[in-house]
Amino acid sequence: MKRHGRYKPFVPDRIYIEEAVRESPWTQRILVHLPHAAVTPIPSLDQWEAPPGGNSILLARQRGPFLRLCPGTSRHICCLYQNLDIAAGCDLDCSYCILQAYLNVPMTTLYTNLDALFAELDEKLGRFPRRFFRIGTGELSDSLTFDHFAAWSGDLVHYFSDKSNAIIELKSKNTLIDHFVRLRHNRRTVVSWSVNAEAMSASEEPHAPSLQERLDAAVEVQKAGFRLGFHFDPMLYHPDWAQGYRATVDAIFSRIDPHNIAWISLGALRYPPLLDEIIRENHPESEIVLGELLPGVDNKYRYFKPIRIEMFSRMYQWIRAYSPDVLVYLCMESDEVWKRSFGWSPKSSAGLKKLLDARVRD
Amino acid sequence: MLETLFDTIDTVQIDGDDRLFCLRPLEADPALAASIAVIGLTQPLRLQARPDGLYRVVSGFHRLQAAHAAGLNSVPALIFDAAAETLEIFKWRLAEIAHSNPLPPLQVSHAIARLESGWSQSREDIIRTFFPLMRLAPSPKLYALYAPLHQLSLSLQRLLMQDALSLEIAVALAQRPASDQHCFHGVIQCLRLGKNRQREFWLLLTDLERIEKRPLTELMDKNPLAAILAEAVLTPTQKSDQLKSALMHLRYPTYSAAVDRYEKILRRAKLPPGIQLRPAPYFASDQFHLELSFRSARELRRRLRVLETMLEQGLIDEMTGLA
Ligand code: SF4
Repeated sequence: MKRHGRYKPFVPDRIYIEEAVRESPWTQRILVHLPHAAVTPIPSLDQWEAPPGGNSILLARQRGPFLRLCPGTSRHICCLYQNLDIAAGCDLDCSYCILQAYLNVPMTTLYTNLDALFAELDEKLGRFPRRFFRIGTGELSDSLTFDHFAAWSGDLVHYFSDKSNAIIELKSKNTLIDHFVRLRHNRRTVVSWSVNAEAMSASEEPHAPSLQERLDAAVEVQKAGFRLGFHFDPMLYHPDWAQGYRATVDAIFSRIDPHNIAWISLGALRYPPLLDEIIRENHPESEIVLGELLPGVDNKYRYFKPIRIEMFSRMYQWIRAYSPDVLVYLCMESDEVWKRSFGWSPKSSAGLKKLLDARVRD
Repeated sequence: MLETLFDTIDTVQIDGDDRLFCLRPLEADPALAASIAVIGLTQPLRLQARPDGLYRVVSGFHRLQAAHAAGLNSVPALIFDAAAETLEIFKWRLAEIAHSNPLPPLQVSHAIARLESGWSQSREDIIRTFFPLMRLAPSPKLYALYAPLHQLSLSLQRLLMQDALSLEIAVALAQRPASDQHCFHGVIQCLRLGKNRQREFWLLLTDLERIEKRPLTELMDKNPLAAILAEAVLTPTQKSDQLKSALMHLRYPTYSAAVDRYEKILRRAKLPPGIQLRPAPYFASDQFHLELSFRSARELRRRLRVLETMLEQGLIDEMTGLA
């Protein structure tokens, strides 16, 4: 089994910069934080071919909207989250990462036209003052993995601190909290960690900080008064799954006050057929493809339903033993699976959104 | 420019074991031998004179073998000079075979092996200089894919040449010991598996190897797998179905147990052919599909009665509670 090495934050050795964002203050900030990286300007990204390999990043202009409603998956209950696509790509290389199949960028890309991002947010949040937005940056990347040189967390925490109809969720496996932990946040930021059974974290997320390190960071963030979230996603079925996940639940509640937890999500491993081949090729030692994964109604592979239900229902019991009222929700599961796992269901995506919004509205 | 001279050469002067330029395994070809026996060799061999006075074959290994079998004592040949650089001749040969189509993967693999062992060419040189000659993109990925293929057993190489072996499986097998190659070849032959089904069985078997931590050969020696393959009265299709089912039970035990329980319920219900009752594929949702066919009101009533009995006996509840 692979072990976590000592976590080393990612330091790119080359930065490609699209001309359009060359003068952006967010580009300049990254350059200041990475003085040793070689810089290559790119006049235009049209027809630009990224050189293979290397430890490089691209700073570019986000051409589409930054904000995008989570596409969900057919016939499953979705939390109606809004993704803020501020970066695309990640250095942590988790074996199960969906980005291996989906990314449509030439290399790890950080969008530095954040003036446009904040203008878009102003417009959207202003146009729908009665609608509540839960927004997150952790969909196409890890929210904090570039924060030691991009420091966006500070901008985001500051921006959302005075918003009454939105919160930002920074979803991460990382421990890079220095750029925001001391800022005034007004509880409009949820800092959440993806967690797993320790053995799975060591074998499938070997480049990410260990569970212990993530919890150390969570404790710091808790002290600073932030709301926290935890995402058991993807849960991986393995011979000692019950002990492994229970130990992680115990570890969380031994250090985190349930009153500070906005939500805990559970999601079992699921992926489109294409990712199966990619995982086998990119991570030949990983055993996650050997689970009883079968095509679901949305064509994605998932663990056979009774296996998922068993995992979810036991997790629910373990969490409930610590806290009767922390919100536990399922990611992308059907009404049937909700009911059979938890004994209740939000019935619809709108129902789930309402529950989640209520946790952070005030 | 490489020059050749036409001549007629005694077959005893040709060293057929010198395979420097050979790009695929040599196999007896009785049809070719029979045709040569009747009309002789219509296309000259290409040979290179060697300093020891003998000749090595550049192209026409099979024709030479067939000529021997047909009892010919001499063959027409175009001869490269002994002083000609062998690597230049090899390049010429590659370009000649690939003049209209890219070289097939197996021949690429043999060419790579020759270039590495015969002329100490590096991987980079092969990709940069020789891949274009073979009409291949200069891609390291292609190199990694094709290079091991010459390590396949002769019987698997034959299947590959006949386009009867999936390239993906061939690449995987080429990196396996001879015992595994032999074992999977046996499965392919016994079940007469086409390329798609080869992939299906290969994936099941190799996943099981990892799950059970046993090598392929040991896995296939185990019953019921070995017994199914050895069964004399079953057709290849019946064997494939049974083997697949046995492998699925090992690979997906919880799911297969649910399928078994479902089938047991159906057997207890004694459904007539006019009633089809199916769960969602893989029990992924809680929906069941019922299909009824009937020709008269009387028949419909009979069918409905069967379903009602199922309800009364609790079989529908059992069904919906399965997964
Ligand atoms: S941390 Fe998230 S985004 Fe990064 S590699 Fe892992 S799963 Fe992918």
